[in-house]
Amino acid sequence: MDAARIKSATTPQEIIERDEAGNIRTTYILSSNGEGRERLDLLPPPRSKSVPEQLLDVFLPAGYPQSVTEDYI
Amino acid sequence: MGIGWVSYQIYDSLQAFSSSIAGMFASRAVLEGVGVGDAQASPTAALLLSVIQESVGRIATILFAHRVGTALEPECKMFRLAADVFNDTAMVLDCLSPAFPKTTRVLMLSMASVLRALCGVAAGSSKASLSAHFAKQGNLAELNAKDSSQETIISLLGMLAGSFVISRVTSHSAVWTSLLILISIHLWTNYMAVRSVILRTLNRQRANIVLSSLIGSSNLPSPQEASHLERIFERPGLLRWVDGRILGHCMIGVELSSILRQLPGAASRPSGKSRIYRYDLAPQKILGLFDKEFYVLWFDTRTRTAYIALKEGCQPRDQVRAWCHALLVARKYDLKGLEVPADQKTDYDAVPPALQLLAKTGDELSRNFHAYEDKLQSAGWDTTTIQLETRPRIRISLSE
Repeated sequence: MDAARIKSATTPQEIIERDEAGNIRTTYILSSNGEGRERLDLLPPPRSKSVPEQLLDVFLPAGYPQSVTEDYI
Repeated sequence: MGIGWVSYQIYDSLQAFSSSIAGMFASRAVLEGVGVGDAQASPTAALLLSVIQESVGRIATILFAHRVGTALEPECKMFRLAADVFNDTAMVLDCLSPAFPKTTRVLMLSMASVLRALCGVAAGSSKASLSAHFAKQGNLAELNAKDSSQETIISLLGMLAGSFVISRVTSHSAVWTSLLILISIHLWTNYMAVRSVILRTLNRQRANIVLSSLIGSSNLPSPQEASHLERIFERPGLLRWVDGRILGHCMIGVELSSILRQLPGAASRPSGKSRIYRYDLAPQKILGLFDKEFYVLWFDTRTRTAYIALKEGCQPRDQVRAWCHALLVARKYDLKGLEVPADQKTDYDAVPPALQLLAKTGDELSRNFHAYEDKLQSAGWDTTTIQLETRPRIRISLSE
């Protein structure tokens, strides 16, 4: 992790952020216009949780269904 | 049984004893408040009052479990003690209530009920977590059963002693003196009970103690030694050196956006549902710095806060390494600030000092982290379960 590597870091890309249940929270897209100005786009999740789903989340363990065994329900 | 079990149980029993006597004072005050001994009091009003209390208490239970749920396990010592602080505050409110007019009294009793609900959630789940720590041979269920028989016999004795005390203590000043003495005993015994527990998992505070000793002196405290250094009510997310000095804060498992929005020269504008940021410093530089690691770290020098975003597939060791990196950066910054060595002055524009600090400490960590890991394991620390995250987990995945 020397200074040279920092400078030569190549362009990623797309970064996807997921919550504990594997749902996409945010998508980041990094791009460059080649003139030293860098651009990052933050995209909201493709589908946000409905109110009943959010209510259900209050009663389920964080990360359900991945965080528990399959016979939990 | 794990070590520390006996002293924990002794203090735990003592606290139950004083708590059951103090509870009797509180119950008497509540009965007085609803009008026991008053010919004009109506049983319906008393019943409705208890319905109100129960309802707010239950709502509080659900909300509190939702709010702090994921922090209960890592911070179980803190919540174990906090539960009793909630409970004792509720008792004080109960005892104060008869002195107030009706509306205020209802509010106070409801507040007490909320506090009892918080106590219930915090005590129940942190006890479960502690029992799981104590049970060594798959004897969790039996251990719990015996725990409750211990508590039952002690509470029974407490109630008998309480009946004796309460019939003699009736004057205002005597009631308050005994209540305060009982509450002090209750909190002190609880504090001692929690202190005597020797946990081997690394939560944020224990990670600070262990990792800063490793970095500073390579003299690693055992779980038992570390338990003496632990503070029960530590401010969450603090980066503290083993000598007690506060170096800053650290948030682990954050969204990548909380790092990206702080990079130098970040300016943003919304665009439809999405948001666009523009930078002078390429975010790729910081991501590139961590492309071999399972985390991305940024240290904001203004607020001295380290932000760690975790990548998909990160293992316990990666989280420990990330925390170690944060400690190392905060320590370096605390000692020397953002110094730029003479030979690197030319690179100053290309590679900002903040990034250099991250890179240099990362190199140092790469050299030493293997040795740290070995030492952690041989000192008896649990390196397979990690309790650094206190919020629902967030992971990022980078495409190639």
